[in-house]
Amino acid sequence: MNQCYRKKLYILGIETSCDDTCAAVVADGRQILSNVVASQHEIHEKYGGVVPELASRRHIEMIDIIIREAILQSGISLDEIGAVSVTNRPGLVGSLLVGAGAAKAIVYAKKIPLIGINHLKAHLFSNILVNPDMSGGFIGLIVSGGHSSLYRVDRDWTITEIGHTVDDAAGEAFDKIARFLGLGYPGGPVIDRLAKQGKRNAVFMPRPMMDSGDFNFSFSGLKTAVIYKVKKDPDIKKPENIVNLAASFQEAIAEVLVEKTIRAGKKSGYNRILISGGVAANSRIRELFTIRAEQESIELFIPPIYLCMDNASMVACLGYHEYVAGNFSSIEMDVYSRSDI
Amino acid sequence: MQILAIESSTKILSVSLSESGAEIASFHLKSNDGFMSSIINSIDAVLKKGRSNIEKIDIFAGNTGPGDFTGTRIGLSILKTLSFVEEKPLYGISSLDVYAASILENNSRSIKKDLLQWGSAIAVPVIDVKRNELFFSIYEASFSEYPESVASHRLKQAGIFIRKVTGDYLVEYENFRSLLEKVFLSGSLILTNAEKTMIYCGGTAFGSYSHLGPDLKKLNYNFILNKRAIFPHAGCVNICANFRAMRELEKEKKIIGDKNVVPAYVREFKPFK
Repeated sequence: MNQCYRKKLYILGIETSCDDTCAAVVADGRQILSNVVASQHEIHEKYGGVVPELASRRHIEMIDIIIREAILQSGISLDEIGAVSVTNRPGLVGSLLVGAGAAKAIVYAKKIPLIGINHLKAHLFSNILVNPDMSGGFIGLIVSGGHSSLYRVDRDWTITEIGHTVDDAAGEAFDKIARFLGLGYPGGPVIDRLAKQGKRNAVFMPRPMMDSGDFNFSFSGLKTAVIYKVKKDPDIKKPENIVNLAASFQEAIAEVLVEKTIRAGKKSGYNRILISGGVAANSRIRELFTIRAEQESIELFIPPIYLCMDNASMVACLGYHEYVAGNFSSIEMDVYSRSDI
Repeated sequence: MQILAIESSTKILSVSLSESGAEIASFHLKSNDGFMSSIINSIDAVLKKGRSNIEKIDIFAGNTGPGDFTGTRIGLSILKTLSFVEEKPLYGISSLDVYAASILENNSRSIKKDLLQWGSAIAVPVIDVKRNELFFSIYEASFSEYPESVASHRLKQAGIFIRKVTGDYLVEYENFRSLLEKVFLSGSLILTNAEKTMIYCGGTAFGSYSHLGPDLKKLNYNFILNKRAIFPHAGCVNICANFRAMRELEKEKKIIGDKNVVPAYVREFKPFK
């Protein structure tokens, strides 16, 4: 009964690890009061990928505006915020510094705790926001423009990496192919859209490392395969053919991601899998995961798209759990481009 | 009125607290690996030394560059957020203005003497903006205040003001001297008593290029390099902010500050592709 009267813990989350400036307010790690994202797509579009210096420049323009907006939309005042959690690893250092600086200013002025967050770990917690009672004990796939990794999350939420990409991340492969074919940026959504009108088996594509015996991925070979096909047959770039190329390329990525994740889910004995990250927004990858998980009787968790993409709600959500566990950061906290989970 | 100023546009982090225009506490730290871990403690140390706290600050101020990208962004990220949290105005001061104020601050006595004797004194802040290029502008000291004045220094019975009298120049190191000479001879800047006028220099370029000072002496002008004006001090950011606040108070009856303070860059960023 006491629980009814317990004051809610409001956490402000800040996320600037790559190219989106994000801030959110989450109550008790489960109720999103605001989730603000300022995307930088139009800035990086002409380069076909994220340019770190341009990302940092945009973050410093947006950071206070986005935090103000998140507080405003949440309906609570800054004085009610109990802690600030901010992504401080891994990511682009110049980008991380902007978010970390803002977070430190708030915790210093308001005399509240600071919680430095691992971006990848936050992705593994993202589903809690739609399924608050989700327990540990699953295999998590984080697949985005910067990462393609598999993690075993034990029942006590101990996290162990069991596989990662040995070259490009899946999202990077989407971006590079879209750029090569002149389709625009970000590559994932463009290829996803084209692929809907194409045949998935029209163009032969390899399934890299499908049977490597481990849980690692490799996607740079697919890029080479596409480039080779186009060089051999320039007609493949014609509108009526490019949809087939897009569908076949996307299918290769989807199959490898889905099969290896499902295998890991079975091997772990948990028979539960979670996917998150920007590439988890891809419609075919979501569809194939749903089909295959059902066939294999595996419980599947896919957060809604706004929680798969980089967002600060997941940072605030993990911040809550770190708060409860007493894992606070010192005001001397730094930022790191690389970090184990 | 208390102003908290942060200068983080070079390898030297500096924080300054002023009360009614006079500095009451400051802190400086040289760091080669960024200020992320030490900046809040530096702010805290200055506030404690000045027996103040963050709620007592009326105005925040920071150097917007051009300068070190990372340091400038850390400083501005913290200042913009403090300004939002405390609901107090923030001034973004350009680094050329900060150096001009620094030159005035460090040479006020002789500048006053120059003004009385020759009627003019010039300040040239020069910033090392990497890729073998320098960024500079020309300022003039005077006993009268102008709309373009960026800072002032009060000596016995005389206030000295400093204002920008040219645009900003971006030039390769090798062409700096000839461009400077051209500017001195151009219509935008008429040096009366050119052979007598003292030209005070400062800025990071003199720290990065040790030959720059001696090279300038080869020109037919009276250059004076003040070593204390090579690296900026948050006290000078504070002086500029105080000057602007006083002026806004006088004109608008309130302190407004700057909206959307962002770092200044000298070139458009072009990714290497």
